[in-house]
Amino acid sequence: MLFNSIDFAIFFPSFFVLYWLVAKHLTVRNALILAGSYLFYGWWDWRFLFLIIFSSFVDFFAGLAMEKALNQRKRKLLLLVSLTANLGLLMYFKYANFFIDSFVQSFRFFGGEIEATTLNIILPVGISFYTFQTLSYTLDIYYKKLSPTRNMLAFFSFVAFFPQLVAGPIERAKHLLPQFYVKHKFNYRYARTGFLLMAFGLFKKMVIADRLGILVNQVYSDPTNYSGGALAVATLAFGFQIYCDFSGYSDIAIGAARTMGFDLMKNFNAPYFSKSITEFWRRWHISLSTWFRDYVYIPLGGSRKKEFRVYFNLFVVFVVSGLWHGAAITFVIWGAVHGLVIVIEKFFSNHNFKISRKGAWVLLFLPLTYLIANYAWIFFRADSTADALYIARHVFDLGQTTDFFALGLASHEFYAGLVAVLLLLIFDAVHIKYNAVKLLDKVPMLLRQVFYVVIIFTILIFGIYGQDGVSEFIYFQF
Amino acid sequence: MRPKYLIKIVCFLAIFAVAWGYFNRVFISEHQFQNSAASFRDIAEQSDIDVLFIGSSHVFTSTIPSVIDEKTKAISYNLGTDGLRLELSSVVLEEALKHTKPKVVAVEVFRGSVAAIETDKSRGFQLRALDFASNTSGRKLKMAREIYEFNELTGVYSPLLRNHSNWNQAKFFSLDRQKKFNPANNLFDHGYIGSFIAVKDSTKEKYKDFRTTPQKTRKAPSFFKEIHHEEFKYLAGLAEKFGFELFLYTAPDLRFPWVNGQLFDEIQSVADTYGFKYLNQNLYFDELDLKTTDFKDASHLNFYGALKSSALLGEFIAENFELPDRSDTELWQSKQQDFTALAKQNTAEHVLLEGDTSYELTEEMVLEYFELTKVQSGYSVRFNFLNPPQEAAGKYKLGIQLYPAQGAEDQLTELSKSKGRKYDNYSIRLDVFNNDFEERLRTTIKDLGRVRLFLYDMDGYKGIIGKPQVISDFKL
Repeated sequence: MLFNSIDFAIFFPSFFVLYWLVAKHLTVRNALILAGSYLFYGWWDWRFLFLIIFSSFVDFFAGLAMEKALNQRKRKLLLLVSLTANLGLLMYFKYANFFIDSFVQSFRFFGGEIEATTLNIILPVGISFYTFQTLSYTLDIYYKKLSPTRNMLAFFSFVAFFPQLVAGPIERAKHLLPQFYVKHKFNYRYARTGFLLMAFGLFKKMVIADRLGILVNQVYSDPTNYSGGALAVATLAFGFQIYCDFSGYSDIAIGAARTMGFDLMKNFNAPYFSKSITEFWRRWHISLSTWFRDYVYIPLGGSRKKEFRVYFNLFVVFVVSGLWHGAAITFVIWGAVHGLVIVIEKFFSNHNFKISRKGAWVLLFLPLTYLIANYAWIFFRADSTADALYIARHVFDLGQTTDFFALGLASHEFYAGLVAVLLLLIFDAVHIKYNAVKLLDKVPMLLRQVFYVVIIFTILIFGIYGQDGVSEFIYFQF
Repeated sequence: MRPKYLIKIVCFLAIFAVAWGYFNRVFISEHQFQNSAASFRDIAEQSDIDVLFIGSSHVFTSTIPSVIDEKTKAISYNLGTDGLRLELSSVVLEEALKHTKPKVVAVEVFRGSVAAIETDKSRGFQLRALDFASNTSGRKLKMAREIYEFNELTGVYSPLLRNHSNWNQAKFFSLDRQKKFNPANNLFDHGYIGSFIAVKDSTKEKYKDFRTTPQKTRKAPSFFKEIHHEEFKYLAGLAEKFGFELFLYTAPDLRFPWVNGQLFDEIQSVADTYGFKYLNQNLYFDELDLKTTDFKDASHLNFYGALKSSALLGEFIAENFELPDRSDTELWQSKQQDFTALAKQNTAEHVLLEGDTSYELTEEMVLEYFELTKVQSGYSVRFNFLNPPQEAAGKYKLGIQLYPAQGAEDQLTELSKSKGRKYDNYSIRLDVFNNDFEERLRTTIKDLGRVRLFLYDMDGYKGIIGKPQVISDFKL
């Protein structure tokens, strides 16, 4: 079920009402959450529910067994079981074809001849997210940061919690799981901000991301047919498309959870206002970057190792992060570009080449970071390595004239997208300094209600509904 | 919950409801059924409407309520709407029954009204009827679920969700969505939307034998599907519940002889089953004296054809149904007066030029007779040639250019203006010379300056053949 679908528009209000009717009875409430979450996921393809159930089983019992295990060897073995089960699922469903292809390509590169058939595998929606979430649970138990739960219903609900099941934020058990142990009391303010966040997420997704996506899809589907100007516009548009698509999803997820009294972690914090790529990753997909920090970078030795090992660790983390995003070489390159820039920034920082990123320097580093991030997006979005390299080479070739209104968006749609992006940037800039909700609270009550209605109708009027009335979120594929 | 929160929620819901209503009106499409619906509600407020006509464009182009009223002395209304399929008749009728208590409801059935709703265009047309019905109608929901995908239902119920992508064309400050008719092109009479144009030459040629070609009946799968039978049953139920008589009819159609006669047998069979009367006007081509020039296209009558069809239909209704005599009411009389004035304007003729001539277009193509008549919708010409050679048939077209009088250049049609022409341009194929040629020249020129006649090649304009003739000595 997609957040921007009519199905969800029916499902969520019904669920919301039911939820608060049974909220006082913890077991019933958690059972409702679990049933609702499985319905939400099974709406897409019920067969893949078994993967979530399998993953939940493995980690629930691995966690319990790990607590009872008397020696470290057995604990390690249990961790291995969890890692094998979760990463095995991920490897099979997401990376099997990629590795077969890569193997064949490498073999041919060295002169060998080999025929191989790829597998006909459907990528289960959200598998990258929920496997990482359950993994964090067993890893935390293994590192003794967390005690395992004996409440199976709460654990299964934690794994399948529908607001963040398919595209995050990737929650940690120690933050989210305890929330399933306690009763929530309806809080008007909490529900209001939750709905507001959901509306804001839908605005980002339907008004900005899906509108810019039309332009991006047209240009990126056949980049050799477009001028450098068009490639540049499409790349910048994609930067906002992916930001609005993904952060929009996160906003809806966090908002939906909040209406039920749950608190999910923040996933985005105005990333295009970063002054370095290091800062960018503190603001972009926070739940994933902290996951990689805690479960990959730190176990690799983190910053405690020798200088070049630290650079290596950083680079590896970003390459793996690229691979997590997609089973294609373009994603690996994207991760490598980010890794490389972060290593350079770390190098400067380690050798007292510290450059001030405050005051007037902001005017240099803010757009520079934005441009680097956008340049890297080329590899993220391009359909093939060849396309990515072509775009990367020609994106600065601004000699040819470009008709910006012939890129899939008529002039009024183009300008609507532009205005919406500007509004978003203004909002982000204001929100960094002042909490937008607190600002809104200062507005008279009646005007506030008008403001909510304006947001809703802005989405309804200017939103792009997609071919079948809905448009999928980009991050579902990851 | 605390009262202050309840107040906030109520405020929000109230503002939302107002905005929802407003934006749904903003995004309603502009089309002619808006005119019909608005006018229907207006008339229904003044009086009960005795006869209702329901169907597709076949109905709104063929059945003129004022002509029916003249014959029946009752009040009638035409609720025909583009592309309406038979199974949606009850949706329109149920809504109409909320406003009036008819004595007779006439549902038109022809080949197109039982066609499957497959194309986007036909699916779109059904929305006009569904928009007419209230969102609380159970019949509307049933039909919407039959026709549209689940994801499309929101659009069926909300013009905002349906048409929001046209936001740049939306008129936010004017909520009138009625179509503006150009009286030179269309005549609106209580749901009837008439056109003055005649069929294209190619259509005329294709269906020239429509009156003499016998219709064939071939064994074929039933034209009526389950949904149609269910609709007839439902309509019969409504008739019983609301106390009106239902009858079926089929309006004239140039293609009639080529439609499988089984359809009309099936309609008759349904009529017999439920005790409805059925009138197939296509069996009365001779009585109606219909010509190809009485059609605006192969499937629709023009105003002149509709006058004939409506007169017959009115007589049929007057003979077969008991209707109240409302001819002494102000409404009836004003309807008749308005229509008579409109009809007079559109049928009144003023001969500008007639008689024998010797306009020599080429040595062998000499106009023997030429008549130019002013009519409301433009001009009509009638002419013949003096002993044209056999080989001239199918060789030429007659070009006619109408120039407005000096100072009346703004009367040119929009097309001519957009092309930068100083005249309105027409061409008539000279295919056969057995009879007089007759043609209507639709134009907005009221003050005619001169007429230019010339011949050119049938295959397309490659220059004037022979010598053009200019006529300006009219009887103005």
